[in-house]
Amino acid sequence: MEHSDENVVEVRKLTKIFRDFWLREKVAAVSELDLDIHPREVFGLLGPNGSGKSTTLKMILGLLFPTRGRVSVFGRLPTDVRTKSRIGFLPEESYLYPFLDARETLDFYGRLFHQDRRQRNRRTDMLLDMVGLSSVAHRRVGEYSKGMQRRIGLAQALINDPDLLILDEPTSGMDPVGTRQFKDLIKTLALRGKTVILSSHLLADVEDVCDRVCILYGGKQRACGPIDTLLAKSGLTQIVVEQLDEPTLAAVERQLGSAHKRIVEITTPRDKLESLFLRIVQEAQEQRLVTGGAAAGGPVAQFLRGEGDGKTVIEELVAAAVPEGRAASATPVVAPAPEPARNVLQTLTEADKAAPETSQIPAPLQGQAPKVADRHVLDDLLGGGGKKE
Amino acid sequence: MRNIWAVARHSLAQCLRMKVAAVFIVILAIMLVTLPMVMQGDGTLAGKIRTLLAYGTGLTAVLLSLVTVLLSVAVVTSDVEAKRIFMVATKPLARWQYILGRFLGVVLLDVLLLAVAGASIYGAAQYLRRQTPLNPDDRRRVETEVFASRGRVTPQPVDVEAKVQDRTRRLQEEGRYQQALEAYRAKTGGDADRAKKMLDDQIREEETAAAQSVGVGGIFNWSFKGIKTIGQPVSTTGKILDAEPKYLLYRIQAPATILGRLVYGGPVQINGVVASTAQVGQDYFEAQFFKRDIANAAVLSLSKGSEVRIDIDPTIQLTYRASTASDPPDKTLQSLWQFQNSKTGFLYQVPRGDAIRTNSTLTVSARVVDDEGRTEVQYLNLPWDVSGLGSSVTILNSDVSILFPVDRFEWNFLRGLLLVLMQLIFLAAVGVFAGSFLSFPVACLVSFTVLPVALARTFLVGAMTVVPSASRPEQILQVIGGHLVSVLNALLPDLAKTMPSELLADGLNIPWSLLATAAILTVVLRAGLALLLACWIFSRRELARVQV
Repeated sequence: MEHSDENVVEVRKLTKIFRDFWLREKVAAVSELDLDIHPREVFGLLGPNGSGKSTTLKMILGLLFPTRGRVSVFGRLPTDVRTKSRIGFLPEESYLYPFLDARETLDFYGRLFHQDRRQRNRRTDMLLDMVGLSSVAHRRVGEYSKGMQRRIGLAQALINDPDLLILDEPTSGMDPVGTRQFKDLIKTLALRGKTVILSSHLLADVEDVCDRVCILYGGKQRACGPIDTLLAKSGLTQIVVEQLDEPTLAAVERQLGSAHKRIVEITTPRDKLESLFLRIVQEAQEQRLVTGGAAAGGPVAQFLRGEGDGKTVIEELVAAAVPEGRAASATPVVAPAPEPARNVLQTLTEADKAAPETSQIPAPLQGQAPKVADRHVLDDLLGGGGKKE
Repeated sequence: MRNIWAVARHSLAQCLRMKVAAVFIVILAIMLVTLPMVMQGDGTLAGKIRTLLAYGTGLTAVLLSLVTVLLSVAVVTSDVEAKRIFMVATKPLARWQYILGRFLGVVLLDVLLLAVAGASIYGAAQYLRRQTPLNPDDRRRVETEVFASRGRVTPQPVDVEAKVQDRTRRLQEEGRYQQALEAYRAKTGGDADRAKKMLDDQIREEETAAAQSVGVGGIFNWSFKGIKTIGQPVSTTGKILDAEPKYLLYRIQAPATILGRLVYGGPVQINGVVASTAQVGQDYFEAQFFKRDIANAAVLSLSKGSEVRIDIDPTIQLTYRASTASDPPDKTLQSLWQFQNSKTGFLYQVPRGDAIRTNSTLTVSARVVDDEGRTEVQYLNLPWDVSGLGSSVTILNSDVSILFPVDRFEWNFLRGLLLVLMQLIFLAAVGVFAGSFLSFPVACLVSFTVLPVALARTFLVGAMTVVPSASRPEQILQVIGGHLVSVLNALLPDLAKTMPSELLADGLNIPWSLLATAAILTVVLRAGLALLLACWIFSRRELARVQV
């Protein structure tokens, strides 16, 4: 990797060795790690438990100091106040002051960014609305459920509209609605030119939002690259059509046979569980059923969208024209892709080409097509990383 | 600064919501209600109020010290242990700002609680002040010895040099000096210089003691100087309850604050005419005019029911404590005191019968003090009764002092609270320092050790000046111990010296110089050093590192 001033985060030969009281070396949590995180990319740090993901993130945040090697964020030390003013951080669990309510929590963190009262109030309102905690804003966060604490944790990470968002296991403890909304948020932020680093072992999440991933095992880097490249399965083409009867199927097979191709697999596409869950929740919300917990998230806070109107996710869901007849087979949250860059077919057919820059996609928020999940590659990589040794 | 303030406010909210303030106020309330009931003291009102002031401020200081140590440790360590520091330390605030903010938050809470405690103690004292005293002297003590802020001077030291030289010469002539020197030499293990110094010190000590004792009929001569302020004259209005113009005697109703300042036989001005105080009752006093004023229009106009203006002279007080070689039968010592203003020649004599080995107070008109703040005092040791039997009396120079009002009680009380606050500031700094690198229990242990050691500092330093041991290992231990005590001495402030309880209870002025000394030594140097170290350590600490 060559040095670049434009990298948001640069990690060089990073090594972290934990020692015991007598300074004996105990664990090498991270060793000889090199990372470059470019501006405007969503970067995923993957790996099984204890692979050094969190340790790496904590060194990027200045909460741990490297034993050897160097970390620079925005060209400065991680502990520099100027660096920290551009970072938003969500730890693996939300560590909150239980005696403060949601509003006071956000207000406190807003103060640390030198925001004036008006700005704090405005952002607090918008963020609470966004994470769906407006109705419980005056309850002490100590009484919140884990997922609700997670939401307030996310809100505090965004209070400064950060240029670099660092998320440690962001969706753990979050319900699917929150997870979906969270992923939309990441995409919005990426479109606005923000850089996001997230660590996770929930592969679906990573796959949905990340442009590039790095897979760690035993503190060492095992694979790194654009996600589309890593996931592309060469030699196969997938075609999704309306349900076919036997004769038509036979005709297709004959046709393919004349081109010396054979059908590998014929299945009825199943709905993704996530899509099903979201649809049920959405229906319940439309019937205005009461919940004592977190409400469905509101719109992405205006200041995070850059500019634009304040439609709620629901409104956008209703407005996003779901094509007739596709409602059952496609996720209702996601409208068909109007742009070709992320089109699955194209991706598959052009697998040899480099993946396009996400940041250049002028697509609207919910305008991306669902990628056909093929988790085998990732699973292989994750599981196989250890076996290779 | 905004960051520090944000963290400080947050810490204050944290402490208040942890119900620390509520519990403290409940304990304080219980204490204030029960204290005067449990501790009757000598049964006098003055005694009750003194107890309230001494134990009230003392207990407040102790309670708040505990609260301060616990909270200052907790606010830092709990953030680290519960990992909340992850969210705070990644915000654009420097680590030192976090530490200072935490410290400031605890100090703010201290200010708040100290204000509540101070107001409660002051309120309770004022409530007791309005109760009926045991007798007029009790009222006088309440007004002039408790609700007072008095400066204090001790007599000029007795010059014993001539006597020491005289005694030394006599001993040398008798050859006993050399004998004694040999004896001391044996004690010090052959060190001639040390032996000579010890002998000379012993002679000086004995001569000083001799100069502080007199036999029956003997006289002490003390000269005081530096009686700086003689206080402002007190004015008020009163009402004539009863009048006997024939004897120039008028019974006048007056407020308790005035009654407490009247001296039996002392001067009082009624409508500008000087009279003498004939009697002091619970809510009145009797004034008798001098014969020269029998035709004075101002006196003639006085009648029952008329309003009069009362002016009283400023007064000074003398306290002393005497011990006797053999006790008088009623444990009471008869004496005659004389105060003289050598410039004006004003002379005041008063016979006294005071309990032995107890502090007794004489109140005297400030006219005995000359314009340079000096007065001459003589003490005549009288026999116990007409039989002429008596005993020699010892009054140490440090046991006799002249007290004079220099400030209002309220300001003095406030200075006392400030002294307590300085102690709390130091403890908060120590707590934050310990919390910056230790876990909660360990940091508590360290900080709680600091408190008693700082309180006993004078004792510890005093205990170290021992005779060097003969054995080698013990000498090494002594050297190590000596250095350890010097280090403690340098790091810890002398908190016992800045404890205001006794000064407040004795109505003694807390000088600004003591406040300034405490501010520099306790707050700026010691607390400052602790905070500096805390910031330095915390900035270099790996906050995500699990600590056991």
